Amino acid sequence: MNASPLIHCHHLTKHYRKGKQQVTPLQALDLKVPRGEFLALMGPSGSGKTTLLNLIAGIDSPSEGELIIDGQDISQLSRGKLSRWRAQHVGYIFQLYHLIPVLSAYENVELPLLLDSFSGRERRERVELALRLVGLEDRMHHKPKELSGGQEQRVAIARALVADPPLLVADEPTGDLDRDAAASVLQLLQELSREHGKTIVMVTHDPKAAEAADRLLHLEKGKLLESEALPA
Amino acid sequence: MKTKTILPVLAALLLAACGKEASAPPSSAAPEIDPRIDALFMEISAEKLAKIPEARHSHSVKDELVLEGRIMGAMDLFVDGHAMFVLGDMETVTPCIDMPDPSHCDTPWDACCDPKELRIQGTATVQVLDEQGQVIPQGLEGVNGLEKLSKVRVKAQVAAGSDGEAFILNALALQVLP
Amino acid sequence: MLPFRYAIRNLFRDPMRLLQTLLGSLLVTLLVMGAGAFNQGMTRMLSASGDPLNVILLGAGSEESLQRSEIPDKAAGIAASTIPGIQERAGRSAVSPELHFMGYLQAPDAERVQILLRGVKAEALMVYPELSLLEGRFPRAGELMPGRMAWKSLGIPQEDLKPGMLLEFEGQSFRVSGIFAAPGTVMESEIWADLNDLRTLTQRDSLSGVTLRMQSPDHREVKLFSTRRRNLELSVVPEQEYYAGLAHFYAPIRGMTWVTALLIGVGALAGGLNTLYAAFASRIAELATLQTLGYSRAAILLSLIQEALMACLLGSLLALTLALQFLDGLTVSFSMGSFQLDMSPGVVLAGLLTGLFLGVLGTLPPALRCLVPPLPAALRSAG
Repeated sequence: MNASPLIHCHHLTKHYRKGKQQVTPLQALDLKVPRGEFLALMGPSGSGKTTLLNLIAGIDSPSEGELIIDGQDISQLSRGKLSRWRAQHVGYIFQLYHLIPVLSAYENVELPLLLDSFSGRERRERVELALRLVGLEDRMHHKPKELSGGQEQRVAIARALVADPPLLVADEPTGDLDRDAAASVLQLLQELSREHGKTIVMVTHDPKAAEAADRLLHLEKGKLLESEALPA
Repeated sequence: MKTKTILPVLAALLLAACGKEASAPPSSAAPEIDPRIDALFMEISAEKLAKIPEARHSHSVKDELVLEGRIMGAMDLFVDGHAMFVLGDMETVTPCIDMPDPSHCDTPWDACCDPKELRIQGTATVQVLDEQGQVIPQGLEGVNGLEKLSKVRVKAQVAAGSDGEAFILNALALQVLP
Repeated sequence: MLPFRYAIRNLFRDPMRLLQTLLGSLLVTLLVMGAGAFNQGMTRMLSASGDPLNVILLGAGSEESLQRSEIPDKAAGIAASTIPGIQERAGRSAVSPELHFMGYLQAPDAERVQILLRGVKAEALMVYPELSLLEGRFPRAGELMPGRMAWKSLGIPQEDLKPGMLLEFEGQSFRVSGIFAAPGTVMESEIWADLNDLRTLTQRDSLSGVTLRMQSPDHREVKLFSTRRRNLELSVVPEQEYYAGLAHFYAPIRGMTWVTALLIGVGALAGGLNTLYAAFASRIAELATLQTLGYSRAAILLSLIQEALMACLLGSLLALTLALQFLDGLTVSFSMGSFQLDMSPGVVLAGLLTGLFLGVLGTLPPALRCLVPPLPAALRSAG
């Protein structure tokens, strides 16, 4: 078993220009996330939590510092290489699901697999497994507009899982769901972390959603304030 | 010491180069003149000079005569690739270059300001034939000084096809006048 | 690469937008093919109208137009007896003395129109072997022989043009003796008359020109003849050169058809860019999602181009169908006569390439604009 952390941030900094001003949403942040941990990030608006999530997910690049994920420093990767890295290492779960409306649930989940060299049979097996895991194998030919919000989010989770990435990042995954659907999604995330060893980093405004995590981190003005281990 | 030896060497090289240039053949050689055409160029006696407007009526086919004129009287005076040119009588035909305001003319050598009848009566076609009676296939422009507006004395024989209107002459001798 | 079904399904996502793109492509392709067919038809007619064996004697200074040319009547006879190398048949030389006259004619139940009349003798049939009589016979005094496209210039239905009909010219009635064909040449739009008849009616004792048919394309003897016979004041113009000069004269008109097509094409392209930008802008978040999943911008761009290409090529194919149905062979009149639009393989290819060009070029700017923003911002966009 690999004891090294999956995620290691060292002096991670991000700044960008907003008009004439320079904005620094993240300042010299140090963080380690062990493999298999379910980490929640909370903080007020502008605290840098989403910036941190985007950097860890590889959809943004730091201005300074190191960002080592699964043994690779992704802070130096080019846009093209980062794209390929994401396909193999990260599953992303969005607040608004971001399913492709013209594709069925099956076809949405299949999308990450088309980037690899799986045969048609292998792809079908993986897609059906992922949809079974989220409990939607009977809805695989439905288009997103034919699914409820909770079902859409579970399809999105299946899509995030299907390529078996070690890391899942979730940006307000329950933000658009009712209480029951939210609870169902959070339970699923817990299962993925505890039973399947997925490392999950989740940004949330909802303290109840944060309770599903193993650890809670607070951010404010781009800095980590405190770390809180949550009861199992 | 060194300069003293270099200068004469450079001078020698320069002189050698000039010498080479002087003796080098021209880069674009003029085509060779057909010997049958070249043989026509000679001094022609000015005795019994005829005038084009009268000669066209007074002379018949095969008659010989000597005429003087300028290569003028039409826009196209020479025929490309053929030994033929148009000769205009200097007292009858006025080329545009001699007009007070030649700017409206297409060419300095045509006679657009003259009435058509004068142009026709005052000009003749001069051709150089081979032994078979065919026009020699070489243009005459530039040959031995024959240019547009050149003054020329021609000894010729009236050719078949000449009537009161067409006046065609087979050249026997040509002389470009100063 | 993104699956092809993604591009196909996106095509039908917004039917109105698809229709807009399709119609825009249809319009531009139709214009391009129309301009091409027009140019092809006119050029083909003018180039077919010149034979390499034929050479025209016309008045010095009037080399550009036989209608403005005047040469002495006797030029034809002198040329026939003097110039070696003219084709002959049964002892007759292929020398056609002609009078070209733009006159006003009127057909029954039609407007008075201006049309080119050519006064000829029977020798014309030796000089223009491409000419054949479709119906009737060569005109005699009091008769006319229209070309088979002359109906267009006369403003009458094609089926009305036939032997026996009467045409009014210079206050007199002339009977149509026959109809001739000379495929692809300007002659088909002319009306031929007996030379002497036309000279009498137009009070001309001179000719417009004399066309000689030589045994070879070598016209040197004709040039020598014109220089010797200065009294006739002739210019020698090979027939191909004469019609090439006319084609050059009409070059600005042909150029204008392309300029028109280009201007409208640019307008359609601008409209297309607008349409596509609106279509892609509503999908910025979706395109960012695909990038987040690991698809490269190039792969996504290719899919967007596939979408646009399908719509544009569909528009082009529809345009092609319409053009082949309605434009191909359509008769167009101009001052020299009439010609038919020619939908040649080159024109068809140009039309299809237009669709291709619109699809690619119309996609690139809006697609790149939507793919360039950083992913975090693109994912947040409203869509």
